[in-house]
Amino acid sequence: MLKKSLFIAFVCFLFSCDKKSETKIQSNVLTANQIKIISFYKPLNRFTKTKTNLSPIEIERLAKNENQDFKAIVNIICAITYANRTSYELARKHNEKALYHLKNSKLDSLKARVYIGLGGYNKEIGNFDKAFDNYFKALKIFDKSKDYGGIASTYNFLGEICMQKDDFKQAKEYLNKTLSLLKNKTDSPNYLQASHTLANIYGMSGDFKSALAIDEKSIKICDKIKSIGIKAMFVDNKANCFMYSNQLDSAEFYFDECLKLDLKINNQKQIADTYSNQGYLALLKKDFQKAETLTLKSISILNTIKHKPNILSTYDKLCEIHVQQNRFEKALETKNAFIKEYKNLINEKKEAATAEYKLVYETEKKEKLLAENKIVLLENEASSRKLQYIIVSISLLTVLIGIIGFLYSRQQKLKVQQQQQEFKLNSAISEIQNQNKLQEQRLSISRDLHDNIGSQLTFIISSVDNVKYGFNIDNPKLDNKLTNISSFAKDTILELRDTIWAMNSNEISYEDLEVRINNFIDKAKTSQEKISFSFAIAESLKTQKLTSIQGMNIYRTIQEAVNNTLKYANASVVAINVKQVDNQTKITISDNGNGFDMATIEKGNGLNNMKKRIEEIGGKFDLNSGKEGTRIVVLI
Amino acid sequence: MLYLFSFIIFVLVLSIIVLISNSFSNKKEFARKINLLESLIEEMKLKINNQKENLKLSDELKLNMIASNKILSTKIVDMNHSMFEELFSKKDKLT
Repeated sequence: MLKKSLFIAFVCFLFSCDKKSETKIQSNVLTANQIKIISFYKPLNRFTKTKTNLSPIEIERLAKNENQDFKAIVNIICAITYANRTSYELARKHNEKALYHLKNSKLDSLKARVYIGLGGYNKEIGNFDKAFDNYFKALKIFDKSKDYGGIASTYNFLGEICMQKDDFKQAKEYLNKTLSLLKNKTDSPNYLQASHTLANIYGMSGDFKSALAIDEKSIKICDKIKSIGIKAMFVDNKANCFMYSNQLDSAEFYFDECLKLDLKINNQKQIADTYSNQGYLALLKKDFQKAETLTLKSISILNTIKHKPNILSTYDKLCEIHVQQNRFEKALETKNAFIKEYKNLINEKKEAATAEYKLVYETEKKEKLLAENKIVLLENEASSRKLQYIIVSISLLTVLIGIIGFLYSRQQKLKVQQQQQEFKLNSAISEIQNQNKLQEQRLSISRDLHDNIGSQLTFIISSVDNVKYGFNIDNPKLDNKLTNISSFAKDTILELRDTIWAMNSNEISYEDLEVRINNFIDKAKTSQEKISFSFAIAESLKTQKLTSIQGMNIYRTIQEAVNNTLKYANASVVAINVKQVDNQTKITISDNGNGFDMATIEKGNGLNNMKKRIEEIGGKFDLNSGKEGTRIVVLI
Repeated sequence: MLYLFSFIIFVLVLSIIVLISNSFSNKKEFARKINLLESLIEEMKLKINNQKENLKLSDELKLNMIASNKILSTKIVDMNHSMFEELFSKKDKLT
């Protein structure tokens, strides 16, 4: 009964705890491998050994490369599996491994779970002080996280230890704490477990009334939640209470009830226990035949399911039946069977313990071997990694040196190209400079020459004028010739000055041209006072720059046109108009003179020169003449 | 070993950066120099063109002056001839 209750308590606790840790795990992002492992973990939550084909070693291998928390979880799963298989030593080992992995973890609930597992192990081997220590550590964690389910379960375990130590007072205290914490969850497995343990304690301490009250209350809850297995436990408890309080009829009734429930769920061990209890009850009633039959029935079932501890206790009961019947030979025979079973049990336990220790030893040996292999593997890995680093570094160095070489050579090549280009430009500049100097010299010479010509012409003019006025020449023909020479020389000087003006100005603006033309018109006005001259330049054109040759040619064209008008047109109005049309400059020279017939009059040097000058500077020359006057249009 | 390699790689990478930046600054400097020289050449070409035009004007003037010289010489000879004629007629009257 005690073992049954311990197992239920263990299952209840793990169910509540693992549900919590599972939620925590699922809340994180899991890797594919972790999901694979968790999928094996889920069936284990139900604590059935047959739900997975994986052994704990295989599960552990799956989690080899996972993080510390996950390794801890896997070890907890393994510990649960081993505990289910009653391999408590291996369960302890995995719990300790889990504790090691959880050293720096923040998952305290898992740590508490490990302490509960270790507490279970220590309780199982009878090391109650260590079990207490483990459970109190778990309790501290649950207190900190205010996990009331965990606290209730831990008090339940503490109560069970106290019960095993026959410290019923302390056990009651812990169990009452559990019940108080779970008062709102009376249908929970933990509550029912605590109630069952408490009822047991009351029964063992002779307080059958309290025990029966708890049993009654719990049976109602079981009916409500329709849990036949747990109800059978309470009915069994109740029957025991009646049996030990000498209410044998009531006990018989409840044992029959219990048997019905056991048969309903086909729990062979419980059926055997109930037969055994009924046998003992028959013994108390001095119905030896019935007692022997029921006890043998129980032994038969227990032999089928091979439940050695219960076989021993049942043989003990059978022996007592034989003794009370004074069938001492039969009693001796039964006792011998008991001793034989006891020896078998001891041997089985020894063999199981040996096998477990052997397994532990072999596992450790394998682990050691694995660790050694791992070290060798890591060393090899490290050396190969080092080699890889060196190869990568050398390759990188080679590439970098190559890049530097390429960049350096490209830079040098570029420098040479730049020097060549610079040299070419410098030679071009020096060539231009030479040309410039040469032309400058030529211009200088021509200027000197022009100055000389100018001074000579002035000398001629003054000499002719002196002769003319000094010698009082009466001959009109001679006088005319002298005047003619003087006038020609003056015209030549004017032409010379105009050209020198153009040569000395690198750029000529229309404004400069305007001044020059106005000077010329002023002189023309003195000889032809009747003619009205007008000269207009658009404001926008005044600042426009012309080259010396452009300026000179335009000036000469206008001069020629005005001279022609003065000489031949007999005009009263001469108008010069300069304006901008589209992107071109339009110069119009018009008069209201006689004009001429363009078909009959052959173009002289003057007209041809004007056209030639304009075309030379890329312009267009157009002449129109008729009775209403002459009109020259120049487009540049 | 690893540190040494890392240091060498760092130095080499640094050298590459320096070389690339030098190359860029050299190119920039060269482009500036070339632009300057090109603008100088442009300016000088303009000046030469002006000079050419002036020389053209000068040559034209020279031709005009030669023509004027011829005309003036003819006119002076003609005037001298007239003056001699005048002087001879006056001398004949006196004798």
